[in-house]
Amino acid sequence: MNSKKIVEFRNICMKYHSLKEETTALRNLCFSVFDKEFITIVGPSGCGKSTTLSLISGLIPPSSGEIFIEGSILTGINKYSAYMLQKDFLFDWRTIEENIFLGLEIKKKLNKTNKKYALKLLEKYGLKKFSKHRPYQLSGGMRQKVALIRTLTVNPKILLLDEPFSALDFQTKINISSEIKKIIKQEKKTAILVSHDISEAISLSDRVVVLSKRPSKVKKILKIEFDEKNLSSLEKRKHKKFNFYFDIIWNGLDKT
Amino acid sequence: MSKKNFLKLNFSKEHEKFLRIKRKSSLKITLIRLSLILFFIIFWELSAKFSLVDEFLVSSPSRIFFTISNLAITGKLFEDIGVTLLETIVGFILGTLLGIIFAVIIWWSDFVRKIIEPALIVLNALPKVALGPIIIVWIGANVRSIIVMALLVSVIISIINIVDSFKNTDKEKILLMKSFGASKYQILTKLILPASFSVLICTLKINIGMSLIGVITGEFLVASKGIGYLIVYGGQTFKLDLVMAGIVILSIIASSMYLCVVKLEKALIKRR
Repeated sequence: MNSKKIVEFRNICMKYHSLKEETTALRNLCFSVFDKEFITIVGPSGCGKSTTLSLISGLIPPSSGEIFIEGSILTGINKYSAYMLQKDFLFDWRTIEENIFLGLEIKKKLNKTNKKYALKLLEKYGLKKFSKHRPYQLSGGMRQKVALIRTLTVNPKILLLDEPFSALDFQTKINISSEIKKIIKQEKKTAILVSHDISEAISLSDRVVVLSKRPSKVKKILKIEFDEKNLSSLEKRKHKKFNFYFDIIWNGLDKT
Repeated sequence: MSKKNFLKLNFSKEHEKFLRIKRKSSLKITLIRLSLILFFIIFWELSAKFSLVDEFLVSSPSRIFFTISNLAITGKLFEDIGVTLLETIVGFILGTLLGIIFAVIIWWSDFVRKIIEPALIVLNALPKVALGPIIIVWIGANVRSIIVMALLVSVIISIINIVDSFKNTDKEKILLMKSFGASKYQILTKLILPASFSVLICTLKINIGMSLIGVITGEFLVASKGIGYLIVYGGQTFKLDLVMAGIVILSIIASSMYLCVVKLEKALIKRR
């Protein structure tokens, strides 16, 4: 992690409108994400965590305030970011190889070099032998890894992870989340994870941003530091400081 | 080593037993189906022969067979089948294509959808045969009117089904596509259409029946050729053998077209 700001939220407000009411999801949200940092946003249900990711991706514009991406105000789709969602959303009618090419196809960058890079990623993370398989032939964990590779093939600077491990069983979740964190660090990406799971947030992140209930603002930003370097997610979960961080986040969360 | 032998070698005894049971069950179902049809035909024939039923009213399999044979000898049968088949295929293709095109337009623009949707619901509920006289006056008492009837019967239900499928595509998949910067056209071609594959095939299957309904209704109203005309003529002249023969031929046409769509479905699944 370095001190270069890659994402900056300045007084972001987000309001949703329906015929019956106006809902303020975010109010004066301010926080920054640094280059190659892994941060997790936690908060009560419906506080606007996923909305925050949609704002960073440029899929929706804020009602007021400014988002800076690498120092420039974001207008339209953020070309530096790519999404990984709760489910893998691999297309059943495509092979694994064709699935990981999806982003490149959309961006009209499916050339020899990029194809090679995508297939290299598949090989690097142990999925090459499944390249001609269909998604239904893979386990849930493998599918999530393919979904991450699909995201990485477009070479984004920022990965937006919207609860990508929540649909997995506990054991797979621990293994895959740890593996995916490793891949993200190896590929030198900035990651912003949205999660309900405090343990996951502590074991994966460099910092945790705690949001208040709606209308959300930042309640606390907690730096996660363990004395020993390069601990695995599982080792962090067993570490004596783990409970300390857990209590701070738990006490900072609005319970209703 | 042939592919067949290679596969055979790779099967365990348990798997071979499983396949044997599956094959046996499938054969049993086919045999029961054929037996039921055979039983029905024999029962019908004997009932007519021994005057248990009025042969004039319900005809008999042998009389239907002879009627079809006579029509075939004169050459009229093939002419009528040709006319009905042509009208049905043209109506079927146009109905399906227009159904997909309109569904895409409605999916593309929410504004258009909101304007058109009530009209679609009314048109779907309307018995299309009621439009017959208007179509004849507007287009004329010819093949084109019959094709338009077939088209009208199939197009509305196609639009409704396909739009429904388009609308039910996972919103998060669309979000994923948008996050890569996908245009609406890319979302349509790379997600919406492939995701609606089964509904599109189902629409094709439904449209066979719908187009036939439209064509036969049209032929009842204006035709001088075709299976619909044959049935009407048979009814008006109390030649119920001819009516029954017409129904049998229609069943064969519908089944053949259905089988063609099933073949197409299999070929497309293989290519996917």
